[in-house]
Amino acid sequence: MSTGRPSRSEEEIAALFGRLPDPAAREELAKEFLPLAEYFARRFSGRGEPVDDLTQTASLGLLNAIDRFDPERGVPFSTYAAATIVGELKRHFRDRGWALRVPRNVQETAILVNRTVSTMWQDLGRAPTVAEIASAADIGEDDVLQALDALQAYTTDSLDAPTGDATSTTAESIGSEDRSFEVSEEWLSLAPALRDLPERERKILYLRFFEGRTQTEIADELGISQMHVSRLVSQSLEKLRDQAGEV
Amino acid sequence: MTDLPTAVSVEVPATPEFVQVLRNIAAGVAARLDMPIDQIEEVRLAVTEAASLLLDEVDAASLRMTIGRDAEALDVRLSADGHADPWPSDRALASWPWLVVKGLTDEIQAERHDGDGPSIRFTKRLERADR
Repeated sequence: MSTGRPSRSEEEIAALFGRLPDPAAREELAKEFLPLAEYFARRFSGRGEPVDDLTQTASLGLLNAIDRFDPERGVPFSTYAAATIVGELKRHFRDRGWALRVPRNVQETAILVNRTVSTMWQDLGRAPTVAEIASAADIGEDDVLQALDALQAYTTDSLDAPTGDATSTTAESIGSEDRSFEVSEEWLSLAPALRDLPERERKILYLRFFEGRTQTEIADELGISQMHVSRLVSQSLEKLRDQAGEV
Repeated sequence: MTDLPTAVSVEVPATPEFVQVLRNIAAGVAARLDMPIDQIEEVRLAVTEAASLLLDEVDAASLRMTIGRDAEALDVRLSADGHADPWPSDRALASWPWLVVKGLTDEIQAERHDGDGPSIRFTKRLERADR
């Protein structure tokens, strides 16, 4: 990895600033520091914003910095420019409410990840890696980890939550013989669309993602094939996803 | 810079893949501070850039990250267990990664403690937006 820096000396850059507002000097400075703006744009990319837009934003910050820079202050221009460019990029994201960085809410990402995992598991015949899931779902590895983490958190929450009769928890119910998955209102609340699923699909999703059982285990319990479970899982996640997309 | 109570201390191999691990840990600690997500992203980016700069400048086998925190700020210190002479070099201080970290954080410092390799330390204060 190479570490970028301006190619001209501080003196040469100071001389160019001395020539402002000469448009030729301004252009020289812009050209000199454009790679810096591009570097910043690349660093801020990967959040759903096109790099071109970010480069434009960063370049705007650079031009502002050139116009406002006061060499008398004793701060190197690159430092001043960096602060201005970062400010411009931050404003750019703030104006968009960072909505683009977080394209889906956690549940949706979790559903997408689960759906991808289930398909890949079938295709690969083994559990996919985080990198594989990220590439298949076209999201970042961080997002995959976050989704897995979120699912884990929801599971923990729902296990510790009281079931309503105040004497048993969901965890205890799960351990009991007539495991009743209707008790988990809170997991239904994760995605209201779950309520619209046929009972069997709902049960399969519950067993798969909230009890973390394997498709084979679920298949055994319901007396259907693992392939059938896999199809039903994909199918119901698809329905949930469609529903989520409509909101 | 103020010393904040240490929340996390971790050592990883000095390779780019593990920089990703470091930044996720830092983001996790930032999240515990209830930092809004844009600031968490800035912490993540700052860790990435600071660690990349150390990897560039120092021939190191491992990177150590120590995060101190209080209710208002994170204090992240990254150090590499190798040699760089001098540290910080003018080159490092003029480098773009350095400028990125400087632009994203409230304080930044390149240090070297006795018996320790070159390090970069930065403070990120929680900006409370009007919510």
